[in-house]
Amino acid sequence: MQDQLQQVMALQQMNDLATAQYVVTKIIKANDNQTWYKVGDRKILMSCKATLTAGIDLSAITPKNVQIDDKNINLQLPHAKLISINIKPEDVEEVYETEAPFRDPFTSEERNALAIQAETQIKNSVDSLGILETGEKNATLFISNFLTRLGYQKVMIHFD
Amino acid sequence: MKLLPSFKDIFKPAPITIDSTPILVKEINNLSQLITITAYSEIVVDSVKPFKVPVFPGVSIPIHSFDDEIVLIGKGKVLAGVDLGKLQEKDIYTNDDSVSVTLPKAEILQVITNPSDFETFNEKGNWNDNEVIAVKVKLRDKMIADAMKQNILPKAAAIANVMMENFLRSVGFKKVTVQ
Repeated sequence: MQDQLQQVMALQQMNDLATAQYVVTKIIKANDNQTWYKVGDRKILMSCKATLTAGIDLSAITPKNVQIDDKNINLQLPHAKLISINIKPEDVEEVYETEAPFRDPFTSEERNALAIQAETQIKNSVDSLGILETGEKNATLFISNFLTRLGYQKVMIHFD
Repeated sequence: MKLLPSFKDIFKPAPITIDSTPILVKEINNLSQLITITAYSEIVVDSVKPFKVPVFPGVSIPIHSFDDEIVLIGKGKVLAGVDLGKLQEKDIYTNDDSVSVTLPKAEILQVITNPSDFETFNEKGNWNDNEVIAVKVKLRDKMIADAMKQNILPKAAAIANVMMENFLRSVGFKKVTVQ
């Protein structure tokens, strides 16, 4: 195979502390039998693995969100957010495909379109997976430990 | 009001919709990564499988009009920053209102090329799953190489230093050194 590559690039600053990562899997199942003039079915099964990362925006921590009383500190953090969803090309695998004699196999574009639907379903499930709660719990743990190492004796963290 | 579908709509293929299958959590990992910079890329990959007709044993003639070709447009993100999980006891020093922190080296933390980041501009011939994955992986490697050429790691380290400095000042330290 011969390849040609062209690229455009832009850089953007971020201020996120990633604290939780969930690896999830999903089976992609589709049956192409709804087009009336096409004779015979096509079916495909694929597996998909996604890595979700959640954390907090550290830029939201300013002196007004911090109250210090000698060795005690009270910190108000922003709620956790989904930082990224990452489905690597090699993490979407075709497991099974079958087509009737008069049908063409699924093209790579069609397979990718099915994977996009799976990506959307995974994105929409973020609230039910509990990753944001885990992100906040881990952020509390990490920042508490860090501030304790810096000399604070009592660290109170809450999310707003 | 349209009572009858147009001729074009009659022969429009029905969309293929995936079933709603469960999403299973396989792993939960704790992280403490400071993500400080994202490089956005858009890359066009054009891959060709040459079509050759064997004329003698070991000799074949290429016929380019029968070549298999795929052209993908891929957008992606390279996230860089520092892994604060690698901070050690010796990296933090405090004395009253002074603090000194030595951050771990900046690194590429994630490279994101999701299915929705790819557009198939042209597809001719048969491209199986593994061949398409190989093209996409090549595109991802190019994204990382380009991000490195843009000095993403020194930039990520510089932003991490400023972020840590701001955080330490916010939590009450007056003299702050971050390196």
